[in-house]
Amino acid sequence: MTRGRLIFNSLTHHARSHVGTLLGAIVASAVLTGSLVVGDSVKKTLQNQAQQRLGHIQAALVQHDRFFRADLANAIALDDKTHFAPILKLNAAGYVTDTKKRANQIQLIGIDDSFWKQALLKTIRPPILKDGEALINPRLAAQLGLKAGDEFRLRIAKPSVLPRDAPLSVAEDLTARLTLTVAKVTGVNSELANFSLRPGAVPPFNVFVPLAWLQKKSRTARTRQRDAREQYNTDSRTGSIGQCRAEKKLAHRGCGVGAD
Amino acid sequence: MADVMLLQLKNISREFPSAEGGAPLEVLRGLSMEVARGESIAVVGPSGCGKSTLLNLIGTLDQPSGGTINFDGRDLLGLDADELALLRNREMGFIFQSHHLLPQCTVMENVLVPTLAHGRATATDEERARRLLDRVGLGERLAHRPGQLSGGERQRVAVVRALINEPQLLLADEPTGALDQATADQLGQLLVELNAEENVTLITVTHSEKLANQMASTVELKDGQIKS
Repeated sequence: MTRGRLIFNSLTHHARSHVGTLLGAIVASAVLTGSLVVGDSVKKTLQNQAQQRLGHIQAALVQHDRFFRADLANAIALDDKTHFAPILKLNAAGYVTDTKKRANQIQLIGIDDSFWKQALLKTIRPPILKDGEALINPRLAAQLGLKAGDEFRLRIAKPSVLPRDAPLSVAEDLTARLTLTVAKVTGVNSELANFSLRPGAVPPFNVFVPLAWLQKKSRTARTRQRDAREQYNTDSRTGSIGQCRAEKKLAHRGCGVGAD
Repeated sequence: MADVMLLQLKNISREFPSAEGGAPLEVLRGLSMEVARGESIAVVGPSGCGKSTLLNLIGTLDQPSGGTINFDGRDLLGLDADELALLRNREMGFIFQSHHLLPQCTVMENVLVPTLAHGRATATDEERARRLLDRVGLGERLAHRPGQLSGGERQRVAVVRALINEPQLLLADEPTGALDQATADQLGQLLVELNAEENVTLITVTHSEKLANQMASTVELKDGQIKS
């Protein structure tokens, strides 16, 4: 009789309960390990999604129905370590004339070179966009069946200095069309392909265009609307024109970024 | 005289704290007794009089609240836990009402389990185990497991297991409590015979008057003291 013999006897005699305990431990370990792995996976996925959506952006100053001056970005730059980038973001719906493919809820984003400092670029040189050229993300490319060099159209809500439901706001000609050429389809995990200031599991439809070009269009629209508002104020003071006629006149003058 | 006496208890008391925070429960009160070498003693008394408590104190399974216990010239209260464990293994044997045999081991292996405390069973140990098992009538059952034995046979294996390390003192707490009358009588007789043959001092706690009468002397406890 030895201690080893005693241990062996105990193991063989209670083999069934030992196997049961072992299986229970294995199942419990698998469940716990699986839970931890899934938890880590979900966490990593959410981190990746957030990174693709925001890049290096840490804060955003958003005015939903108002606009900042583009040079405000330079004015509020406090030091060399913090980068500011102005963007002009408009809502749009897109379609391709030939294929009749459509996409709604598109983000049309006017950007300049400073924007790329916030992006997770996989290329050394940022993409160069000319007027009328667009950089689109893979989801929009798949939705509309687009590739580099293809042409597509966007219908955008014209930017306005007045809210749409304000009494002075124009009631007609609220949208405009833009024809754009695809300069490049961004990589899936790079170049802020899924840039969005709103969290969500589904990637957005993104179209990036030159900021100056979009500003130029917008400025034209805002100028038209300001002229209309001044005309309305003059008419109101003289009392020669009623509310309904004024609204009709504003509508005729328009305030879009311009249709091509 | 000191060589004759194996065990000396002087003014032993044992108290248990009350659960409600009241006065402690006194189980043994100033108990003194002496046990000579080779003697066989039956400790009897009504339930709750402190028989098993006394046996636990003698077997160093419990500590008294007061008094002294001398075993073979040593003060048991002066020994540390390791020394007490060694003492219990080498110089004391225990038999309980339940046999407490290991179901995964054979009769022979069960008897040899106490020898593992000091390494492994030697050939001498195995020879002694074989002889004792043959003595108690289990010579043909060495490879059997406890599940293949009757209640009386299991208790006889437990007796041999208690004797395997040649203890000076054998403590039995109701050894026949779980047996029928005929088997209990046989086991009682066996204990008395082994007491003489192995020259081991035997202290048996029992409710059985018949078993008590088989012992050389009887000590009756009442209210925590020896009834004079």
